[in-house]
Amino acid sequence: MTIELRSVTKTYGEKVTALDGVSASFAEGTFTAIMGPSGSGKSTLLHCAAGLDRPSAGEIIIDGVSLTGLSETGLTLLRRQRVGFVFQAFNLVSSLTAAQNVALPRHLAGNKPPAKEITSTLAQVGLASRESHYPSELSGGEQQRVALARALITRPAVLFADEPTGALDSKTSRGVMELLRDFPATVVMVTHDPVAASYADRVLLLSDGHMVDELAKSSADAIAAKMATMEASC
Amino acid sequence: MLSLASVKANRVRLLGSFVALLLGVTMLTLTALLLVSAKPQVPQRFSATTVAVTPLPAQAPSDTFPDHPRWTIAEATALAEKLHGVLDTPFYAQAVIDGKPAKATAGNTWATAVLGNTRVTSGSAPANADEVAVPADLGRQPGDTVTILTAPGPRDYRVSAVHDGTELYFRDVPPETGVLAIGVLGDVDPAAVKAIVGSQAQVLAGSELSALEPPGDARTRWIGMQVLTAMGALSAFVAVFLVAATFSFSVLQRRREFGLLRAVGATPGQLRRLLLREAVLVAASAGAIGVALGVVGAPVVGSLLIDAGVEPASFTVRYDPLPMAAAYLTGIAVAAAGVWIASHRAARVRPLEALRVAEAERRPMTRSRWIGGVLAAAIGVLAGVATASADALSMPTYAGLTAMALVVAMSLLSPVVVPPLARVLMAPLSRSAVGLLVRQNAATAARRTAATAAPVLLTVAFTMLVTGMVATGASAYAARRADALPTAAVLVADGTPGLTQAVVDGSPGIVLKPTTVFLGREPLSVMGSSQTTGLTVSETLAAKHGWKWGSTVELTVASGAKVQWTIQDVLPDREVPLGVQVPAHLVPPSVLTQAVYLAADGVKAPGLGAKVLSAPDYAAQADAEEDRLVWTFTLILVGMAGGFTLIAVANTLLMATRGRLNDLLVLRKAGATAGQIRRLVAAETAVVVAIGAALGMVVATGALLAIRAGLSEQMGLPVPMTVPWPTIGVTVALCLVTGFAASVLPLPRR
Ligand SMILES: Nc1ncnc2c1ncn2[C@@H]1O[C@H](COP(=O)(O)OP(=O)(O)OP(=O)(O)O)[C@@H](O)[C@H]1O
Ligand SMILES: [Mg+2]
Repeated sequence: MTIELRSVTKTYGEKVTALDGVSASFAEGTFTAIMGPSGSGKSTLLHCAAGLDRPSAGEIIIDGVSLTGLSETGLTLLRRQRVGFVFQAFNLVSSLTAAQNVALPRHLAGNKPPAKEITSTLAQVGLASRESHYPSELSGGEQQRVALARALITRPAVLFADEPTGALDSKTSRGVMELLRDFPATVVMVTHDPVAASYADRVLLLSDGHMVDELAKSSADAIAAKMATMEASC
Repeated sequence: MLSLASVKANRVRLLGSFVALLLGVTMLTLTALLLVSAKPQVPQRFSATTVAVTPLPAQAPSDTFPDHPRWTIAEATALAEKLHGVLDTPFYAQAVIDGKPAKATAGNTWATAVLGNTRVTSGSAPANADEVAVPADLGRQPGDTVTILTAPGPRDYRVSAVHDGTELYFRDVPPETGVLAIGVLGDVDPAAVKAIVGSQAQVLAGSELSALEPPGDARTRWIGMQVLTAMGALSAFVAVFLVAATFSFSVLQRRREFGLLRAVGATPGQLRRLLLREAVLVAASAGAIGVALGVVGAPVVGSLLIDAGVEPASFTVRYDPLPMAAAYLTGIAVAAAGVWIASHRAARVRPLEALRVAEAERRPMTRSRWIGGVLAAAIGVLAGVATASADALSMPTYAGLTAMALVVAMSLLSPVVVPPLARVLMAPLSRSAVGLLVRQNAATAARRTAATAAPVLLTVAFTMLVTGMVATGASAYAARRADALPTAAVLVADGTPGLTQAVVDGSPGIVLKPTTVFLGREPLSVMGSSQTTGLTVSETLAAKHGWKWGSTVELTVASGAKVQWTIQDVLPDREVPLGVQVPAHLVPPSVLTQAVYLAADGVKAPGLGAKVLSAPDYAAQADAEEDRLVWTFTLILVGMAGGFTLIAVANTLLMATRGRLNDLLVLRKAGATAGQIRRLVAAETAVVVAIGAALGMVVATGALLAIRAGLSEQMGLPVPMTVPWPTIGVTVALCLVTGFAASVLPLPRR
């Protein structure tokens, strides 16, 4: 599934311009990493692209459908059928177990996944035996992986992940990256980690709400070097 | 099912809504049951009677309660023989125990005992004029002597029997006692009886027998009905307000949860349905308990009403399933409506709001809130204008409407005024860290603060309105009573419904003996007075009936006898207060005397059941009884509504504190001590109560100003606005104490 952003601008009040006329396109089946300094608008970009937030100006087109004309319900239905999202702050429902959290989106959509599928999805992210634990009983990294499983189980056509490895050690992080790389969908990921970004087909660099650069598939070292020069310039 | 899981998961959070609903339904059930029970009842003494035949009833306005017309014994006997009926001849009879009149009871002939299925438990029926059968609770045994007051005076009787009924039974009746009804027992057809008596009498059967209730009881019941109607209106309002406010508050508190659900794919419609199902589930269980509590509470409140004198002693709660079902369904409907309105806001929660942990609401006022608030304020102002020009009867209704509309307006609009009010209130503390936090919290969470303050607002507004209304009314009427009495001392009843003839005979003075006579079926109030030499009528009454000096009118008096009285005088209305005045000796001896204006030298020891009062005391006592009733009325209303709203105050503060535990935890981690947290919460509670109280007072002042204007208009003189500040102070203090208990005590100790 292809996602296209056309001069997307997002302002908060009068002072903060989180995105300033960003255009980008994510082709079917590609894996893109978005990088940039803190506060540069990465999360905002992801939210707008996923239809979680509406831009102040510009247009987002998912699979040929413009999000601008959709009602709140229409937007929700589109999201829950085609889009998966892993939040930066994992946002699990604290009153539900890991398994219930994973099942929730499908449950809301009216096709509750069978227990087997929940178990296998949790196993994919390395949490085979933690189904019945509550978020408060899981470590930060484990919660993050539950949130990832929650996005995976809907089999989305496009998956957005906001720093999916932010709380993970490098070994677990590698596992998650391989999972995302091999996931049969368009994947867009925000990360600060050059190693993680090196799994992507290309890397977009964001600074101060502007798309400043683009790298084709590169090694972690090359990405790190690029980041360093960019941060030095601002 | 998602909603059930959600109810389980949110059990603690839904507790607040549960409590609000429980309170609301309890209140609704209670008042609805009492209201339905307040219908007239068949007097106990007719409980076994199939049909009663009575004189045609008086034709009088429904809010006046004249005596029932009677037949003479001679007249009724012939009819009773045809019907094989029993003459019911209730008369005044009161036992004297230890020198004091016992709780008033009525006398009748033993023959009437069968009408109420009263049976002798020991001894035998009174066989001669000196014997009496007494109820068991009098504590007398057959063979004892007991003094009994009847209209002629006290007399000793020998107890011949103890029975299981409530009346005193004699063989004979005092002279000139009329017949109230002829009771027929057994399997008789009312239609057949009707055919025998024709159109000259009234035939009552089944529940119609309640028409034979004593007029005093009927009047008390009527007053009770006013009290209960006001209670009903108030509790309906309070219930709806509390439930709606609490549900929208709980929705407000769960924004984060809703945002999260939206983010993982719940549609706005799904959220609304989830909330609705949840509300109905909560309402269904809370309502059931509420109905049960109402059923348990109704007889308790009922006996309070009897003690307060606003319901007759015969009042009992009837457990009609209809009002219970109505209260239950109302609870569910209100919860559903309340949550439905609130759910629109919840459903509009953007998915991203889940990501923002911080609570700051940038837009506390929505457009619908503005519209609702302004609309309610407009209704309040209109009702206030109507109050200012209303008559005495409709004024409380309009005043109530004014207050209700203003309460709604104020609680809808209060998020606007909360931040500046909080700033002003916290100015003295603004240098301390706690002061700063409190101010910021109130300002950034205007909606939450306003929602928490709403029950306080309601409590204070209604206490101040109701007590202020009564006090302002009292001071207005005080301006009108100052007539001097033509005497220095007055003989009045003491523990009895009136003075017996024996007492009157021993005390020279002006005798006042009010009674009712019937002109055809029209009841006329008559003052029997020893000062009047002949029949005197007021100009208005004379004009109405075409009477002139010298006209002869045929009237039926209390004994059922027909009398021909000739009019001797027609005087201006103010000289004949009741409309008709006759010499006291023309009033049948079965009627008790109300008062004797004692001659200056005539003050002797008062007889049994009488006491002497100075003229000012007498005037004050007459008012005191009136005042007592009004204040009782007030206390019942304020007590009931206040009790429920206080629980609601505790409830919302508990909800608010629980909802903020996370915030408080963050503060703890940032270095606040447990004591600082406690002080912070206490100060916040104080600010909430202060804001609620201030807004409540504004509302009540508005309604009271309207009332004052209305009273001034009615009386044509300026009326001061009187507000019982101590009562309001106590109310605010109670809110504060309840608030502290609900918010500070549940905090973790360490
Ligand atoms: N709701 C909001 N109101 C006001 N400003 C906001 C809001 N959300 C984000 N911003 C601002 O918009 C800018 C971009 O925020 P965004 O969350 O997209 O940054 P980011 O690139 O994801 O940063 P990080 O790497 O720290 O997560 C920031 O300056 C932030 O302060
Ligand atoms: Mg971010």
